Amino acid sequence: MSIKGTFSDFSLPEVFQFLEQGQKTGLLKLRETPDDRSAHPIVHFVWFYQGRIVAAADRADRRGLVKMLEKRGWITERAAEKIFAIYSTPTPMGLCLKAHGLIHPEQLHQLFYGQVIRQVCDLFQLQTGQFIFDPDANLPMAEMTGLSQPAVEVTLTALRSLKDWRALTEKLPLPDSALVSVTQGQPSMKLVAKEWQVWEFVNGNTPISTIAKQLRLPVDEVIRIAFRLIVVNLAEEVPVPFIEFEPVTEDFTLPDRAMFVQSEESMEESMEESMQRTDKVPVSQSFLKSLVGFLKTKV
Amino acid sequence: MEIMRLVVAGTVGAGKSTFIRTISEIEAVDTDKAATDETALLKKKTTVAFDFGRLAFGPEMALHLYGTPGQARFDFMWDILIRKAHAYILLVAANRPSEFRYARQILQFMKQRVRIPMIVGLTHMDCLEAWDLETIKISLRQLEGKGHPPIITVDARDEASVAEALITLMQLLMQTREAAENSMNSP
Repeated sequence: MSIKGTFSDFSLPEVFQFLEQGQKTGLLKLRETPDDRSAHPIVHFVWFYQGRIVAAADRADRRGLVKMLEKRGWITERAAEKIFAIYSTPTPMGLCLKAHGLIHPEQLHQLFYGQVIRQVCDLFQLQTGQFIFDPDANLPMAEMTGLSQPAVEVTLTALRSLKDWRALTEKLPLPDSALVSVTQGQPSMKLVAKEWQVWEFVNGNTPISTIAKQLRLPVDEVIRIAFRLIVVNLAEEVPVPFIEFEPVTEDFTLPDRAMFVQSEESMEESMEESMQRTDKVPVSQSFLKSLVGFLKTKV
Repeated sequence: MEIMRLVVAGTVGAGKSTFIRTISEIEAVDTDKAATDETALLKKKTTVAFDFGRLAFGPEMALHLYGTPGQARFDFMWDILIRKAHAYILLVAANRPSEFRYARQILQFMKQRVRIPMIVGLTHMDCLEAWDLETIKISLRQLEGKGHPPIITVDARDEASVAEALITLMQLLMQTREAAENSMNSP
């Protein structure tokens, strides 16, 4: 089944996030809505292999990579395609050329950066458009360098260099929200200094605006850092507690955290009265069995 | 009288009110008042509105259902409701992917405050725009495995479907309790 939606449903970093989490393989097509409605929509392509980005292009003819090579003066389009045609088994273009000594590993990395990171950074600025993920699409060997990177790492790199955040405004966490960790222990990916500083406040209680004050950073900057931590699966936005509560440390399977039920309550007791009560006692097993039995009569 | 409080949380358009209305024996109350000690202090600042329903199934037993406030932002009422709940169901509209992020926030919000049994109910799965179960699980960060709640499909308009969802939740409660008792009795 295809996954599709609009940029108002999901921002592109969020799309990348769940494609990586789902370890998806396939083609993500992004149809940009042009400002001029009479113009043809521009389509972008990003290919994934098991949640890693392997290539990106803004053309469908699979000539994006050779055009890049030619533009840099490293090899002609014709020569590249000749070498590529030699291979009978599917092999990424970049690896074919590297195997023939026509480009160096360092050049391959530069190509990948230019093809994927830069394009993704541009794509993050798209304000309106649609996306569709096709899990049945073949990987485009002619567009592939042979290198790949986990989607969230591409996201992190691209967001760090993103200048225009207007397209993501609606998806950014609020200044009065806090952050809570959704990862076990410390982050395994490489964070920059400011990201580490914000990470120190990922405790579910400290509003982003307070983090900004503590770190003496602009609130907008901390919001963007927080967004980065969210879309790379390290943190989640949560509202700060509105009333005092005891932080939960035990599992509900423990007896004193087991199910509770109100006792000695009259049938006529109103919702308000019910809500006023704070004392809780464990529910009886017979209560649950009776309720299940009753519900089964409605199925 | 034994009463269990069940919170029906959910994203915008997921069918929280419908869910409660479908199973409630009384006409579900959509209230803008909650005259509790805690809310009285805060009421000046905001309007409180949530659904309430009740299901009596014996002379001394009843289930109370509370829908979380309809607006897409959390407020103090959420804190009050969830602290008093014995279990909750999170309803997520499968055809509104833009709300999945909010659903994740609800899960985190709850997790931070209580450890009570819960399930996720996916509604509108029959809509053309609905995302498939696997993709929704990924979007909600609820892949299979330990610590993740059961995810079921529910039609909030259908009494049998709502009853089945509640049975799943009650069975989870019973399993949890049995597991706790077994662990207490084991040497």
